[in-house]
Amino acid sequence: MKTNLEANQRKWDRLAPRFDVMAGEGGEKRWRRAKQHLFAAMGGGDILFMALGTGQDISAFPPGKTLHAIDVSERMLALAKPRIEAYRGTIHAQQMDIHQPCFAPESFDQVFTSCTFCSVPDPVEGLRQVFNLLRPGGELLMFEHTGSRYFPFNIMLRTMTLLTQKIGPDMDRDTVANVKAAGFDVQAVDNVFLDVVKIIRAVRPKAPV
Amino acid sequence: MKQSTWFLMGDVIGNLCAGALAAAVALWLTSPGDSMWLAMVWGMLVPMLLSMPLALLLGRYFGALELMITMMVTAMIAGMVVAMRAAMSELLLFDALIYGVLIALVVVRWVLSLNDRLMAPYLRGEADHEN
Repeated sequence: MKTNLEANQRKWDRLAPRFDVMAGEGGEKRWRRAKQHLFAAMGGGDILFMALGTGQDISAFPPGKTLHAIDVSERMLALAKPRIEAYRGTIHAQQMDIHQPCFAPESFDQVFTSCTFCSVPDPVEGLRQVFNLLRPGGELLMFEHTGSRYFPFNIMLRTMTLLTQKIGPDMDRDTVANVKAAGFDVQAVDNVFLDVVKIIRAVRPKAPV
Repeated sequence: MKQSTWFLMGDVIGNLCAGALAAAVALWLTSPGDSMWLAMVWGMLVPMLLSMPLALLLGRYFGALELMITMMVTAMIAGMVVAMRAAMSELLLFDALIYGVLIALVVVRWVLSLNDRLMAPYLRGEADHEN
């Protein structure tokens, strides 16, 4: 497992200098309104933002929030620094792998992700860790791209994953099923583009599952 | 103009270019008399490999999935037509362009209508629109 995590970290460290090009300015503009809509749900409690990357999402955050942000790649966070400093609020960013979180259990009221669980090597285990980090009743709010159940997108995304997983994310994950498998109560799944890009709202149930 | 309108124009133009490019690749790789199945394989694989870097180079202003479908279908049909025309004249570039244009328009229209059905109602007019 440790070797896998180190390999994953090395992969994203390698990609860091080219990440903004790969993520694409056009893609960010397309999804910006949907992301703003999602991030507007940031409340006044303890917030964790996962996989900050180079900080492209920061400009869609509502101002005045205080949040923790993690990323597996030190180099990504170094590139994110100017965006973190430009944010009109406070972001405590640190390198961390979600498979081995350094926060105490039940530390957060909300966890936000943005195109994160396409890249976590063991998504269900990663989501179980997120589950543990949330207080009972805490919210998981995700902007994710997944596989599709529509032909020909399903075959295309599966085929593309053979290539993309070597250098970056998987394109064909069933993140909604993974969220359920981790014990969350999925409250809403809203499609943003086809059934590939979506917003997922889930809650850690108050009673033990 | 709404940002979504710019994106729609970008998608149509991007797909037209992708269709023309895919048809050109199919013409280049396929000769009259080739196996139709071989032509189909070229038509499926090469545009798939081409469309992702193309979408990345263009800053992902154009939807990569639409580009990929346009290129695959155009190249497949163009490749098959060349292969099947062993006894006839070679496929003209103009023919290939017509295939590219028609297929690009059909693909964009189909993807948009499917997206309209699937998109969350509260995101319609908001997910990719300017104020």
